[in-house]
Amino acid sequence: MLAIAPRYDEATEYSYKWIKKLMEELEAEYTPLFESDATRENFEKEVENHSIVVFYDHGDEVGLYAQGGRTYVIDKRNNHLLKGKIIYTMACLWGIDGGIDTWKKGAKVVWAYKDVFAFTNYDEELFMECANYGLIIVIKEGVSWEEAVEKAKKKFDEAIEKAEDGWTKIWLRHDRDALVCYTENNPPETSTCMLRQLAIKLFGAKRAWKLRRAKVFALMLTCVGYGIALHDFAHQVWELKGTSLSLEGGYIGFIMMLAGLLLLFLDHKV
Amino acid sequence: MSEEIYRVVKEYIKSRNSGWRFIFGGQVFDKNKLLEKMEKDKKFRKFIIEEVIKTAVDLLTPKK
Repeated sequence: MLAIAPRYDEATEYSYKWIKKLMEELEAEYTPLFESDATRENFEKEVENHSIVVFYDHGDEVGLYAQGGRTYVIDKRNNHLLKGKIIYTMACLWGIDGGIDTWKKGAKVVWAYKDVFAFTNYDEELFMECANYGLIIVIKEGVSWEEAVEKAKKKFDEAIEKAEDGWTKIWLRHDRDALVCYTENNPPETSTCMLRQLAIKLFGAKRAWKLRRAKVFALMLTCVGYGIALHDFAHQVWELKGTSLSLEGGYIGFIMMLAGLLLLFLDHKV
Repeated sequence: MSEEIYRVVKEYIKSRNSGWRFIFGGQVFDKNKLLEKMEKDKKFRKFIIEEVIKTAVDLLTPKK
């Protein structure tokens, strides 16, 4: 396991403490890239030796920040290095875009937040327990990632119930709603691409993410070609018989092609 | 209604002690900084009010 945690401002003092507590609870071997070692270069050098990468600290839509907060440890230019790996984060906003891009490039699991992660210092323990919970139950109890995200959200619910302070409840609820876990069986429900958004609305996330540009283009070509051919055939029939509505073998062929196309589509082949 | 929520939130924050901190991503607020931010930044104020409402709705929604 590769554990990355920059430490350079008041907020990172907390996340640094949290990742240390997480590693302590996991009792697993890990390579630390902490404080000044939390750099892009060190990540790129180390990542191939690890199947799980844990990152605790600042992030934004694009990437996860390195020590000092001026560059990224992980962004869209090097996230392909996470192909086939698990990336578990406690960082703001990365789940909106950077995390999705990482998942699209083949990361096995992306655990992230699609909004700012917020907490209070006087109920810090509750927030830390919830942030750390997912990885702990996957490693120690062997639950699947899909189960883990459900259980982690329930853990947030328990913390909301346990919290005596209203302000704490607000931000626990906020963080719970921001938590996402992208896996093959649990793909992102959103996309920055408008066409993908449309596909998600039409077919659901699981099917929509299986659509590739080439397949969509092939489908469009097929539909347009089908329309042209059908129109041309109907016109020829009209010229010969004075009506386009006539029982012709050509029409039966068109119906069979349409049925075949629909069957292929329903079988997720298109 | 929003004004009433904002008034209550302000009262709540004012009643915190000096060691109270609210960490919002990279920003760390003590009670005075947070009150100042909410007073100056209308968007942020609106966001806080929305979060209060969402939480109220969530707390009143029966859990499965």
